[in-house]
Amino acid sequence: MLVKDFSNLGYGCGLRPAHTSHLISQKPTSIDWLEALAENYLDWSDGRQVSALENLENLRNHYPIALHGVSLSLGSTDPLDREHLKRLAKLIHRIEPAWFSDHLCWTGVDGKNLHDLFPLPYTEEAIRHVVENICRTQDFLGQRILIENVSSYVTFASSQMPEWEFLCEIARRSDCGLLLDINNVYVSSRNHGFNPKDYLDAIPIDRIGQIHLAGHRDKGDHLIDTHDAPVCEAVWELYRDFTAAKGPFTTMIEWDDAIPPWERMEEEVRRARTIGGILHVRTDSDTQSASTRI
Amino acid sequence: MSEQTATLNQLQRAFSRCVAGPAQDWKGDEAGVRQQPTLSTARRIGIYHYAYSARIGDSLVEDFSGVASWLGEASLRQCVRPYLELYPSLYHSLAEVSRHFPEFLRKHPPSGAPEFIAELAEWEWHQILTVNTDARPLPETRPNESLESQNFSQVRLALNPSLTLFESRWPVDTLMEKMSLPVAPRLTRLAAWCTEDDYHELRIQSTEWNLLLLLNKHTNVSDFLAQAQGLSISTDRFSRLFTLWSNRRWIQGWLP
Repeated sequence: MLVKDFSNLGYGCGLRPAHTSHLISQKPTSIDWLEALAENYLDWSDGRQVSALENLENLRNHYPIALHGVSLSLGSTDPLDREHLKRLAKLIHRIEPAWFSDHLCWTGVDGKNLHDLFPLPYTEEAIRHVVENICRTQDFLGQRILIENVSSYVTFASSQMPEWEFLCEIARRSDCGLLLDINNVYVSSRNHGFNPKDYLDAIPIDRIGQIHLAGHRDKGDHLIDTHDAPVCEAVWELYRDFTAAKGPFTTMIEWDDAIPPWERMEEEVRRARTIGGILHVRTDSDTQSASTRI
Repeated sequence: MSEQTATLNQLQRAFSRCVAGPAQDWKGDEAGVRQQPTLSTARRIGIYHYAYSARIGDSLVEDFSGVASWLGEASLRQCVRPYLELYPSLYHSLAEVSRHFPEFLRKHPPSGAPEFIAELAEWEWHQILTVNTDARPLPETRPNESLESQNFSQVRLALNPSLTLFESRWPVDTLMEKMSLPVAPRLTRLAAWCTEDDYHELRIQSTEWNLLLLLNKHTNVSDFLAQAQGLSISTDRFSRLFTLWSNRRWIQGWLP
């Protein structure tokens, strides 16, 4: 079954504490949906439940919500953490997100979390391993997930293929969807010297559930994926070309650090909407049907 | 781990050592990193290595602003790697990485740190728990049970678990910012709690503290009243306190 049932939610942004009160009180119509970081709403290891969950439920009544994870560590050789999956399943059951996404990466090994998104070697061994973990995750959660390409600063000598082949093959074998981060493609292309258009041309559009746009820092001889700045012109250009050829897609602005005032965030979302090419009008039925989209 | 992932596992362990171990002039062979033009392998691995301590350092500085004020931010950041070596993160969320930092400071206080630094850190961690987490539900709670007068004496009482009670040998609530005056030890008992929008904290007097500890034993109303008599508190004051605490939702009651 192809992943065409990741509906187009329109244009949104990440839900950040600095904007939560404004979103709850004003319910701005400048955004169509929100992406929430799953780990911010999961029960803690000692069983405590985070207090911010009520805010998320409140917003869920007004906007479709997608949950985005950073710690499934699908590429780690550690076994999948069933307790984490249980907490995740509980959150998904409660919030009924449009979908859940996490990264094509590993975050640690031997039980230790290094709290970063490390790239994998692009090998057949890694493909088999990640596909098995994605399939187990999808079986456990009872739904298809999206996996996101990460930005990277190293590649491994054992890699047998370019990153885009690795990503697409994993998506094909596990029948998962893709969260395509165009900023990450651009950052990695500069750091590793490939053409970002080669990457984007290889992505099968029927697997794309969502697009991320974000800002980065230019350090001269390399780029750092910081999410603390506006989307740069080169990334906007890639997004424009990509959506003109293959879009539109559900799109969001990721701005995680040095969070701007809400009005500045709205500008970025507005620009994505303008470039993305459609005016998505959110209706009540969007919100109500979000839980049944997958 | 299966034989099929042995190579991947070796790579991940080696790369993890580069990230979490001591900094060095990495050649890349350690973790199978490919040499690439434009940036040396050492700098490429270094991006991950230094991001690791910076990320956890940011988290500790944010969570322990009082400790940072007394130690200095740079000195606090110097604790990051020793802390993570002893207490590596086993958590999925960065929010929990700070969990063992007060214990670390108690066992390994930085040179020149004030005597109260670990207790201040512990108070700050309790503040984080108060603000960021909800109460865990009480065991065997039947919240919809109607409380009828004939069984009121059997109602079990407890403190709302979201209420934090904290006892320190130091006036930690006054130490959130570094001051030049000398700090003297003083037994300090604090309560911290959240309402819908706000965080609150206040000092608790000795008799009130003992009453609150009694409440925390999940005794029923009649046993609680009997034990409270031993605290030499007037009926009026007892009544005022009980009403005040109920209004603040510090007290929960349920029928077992």
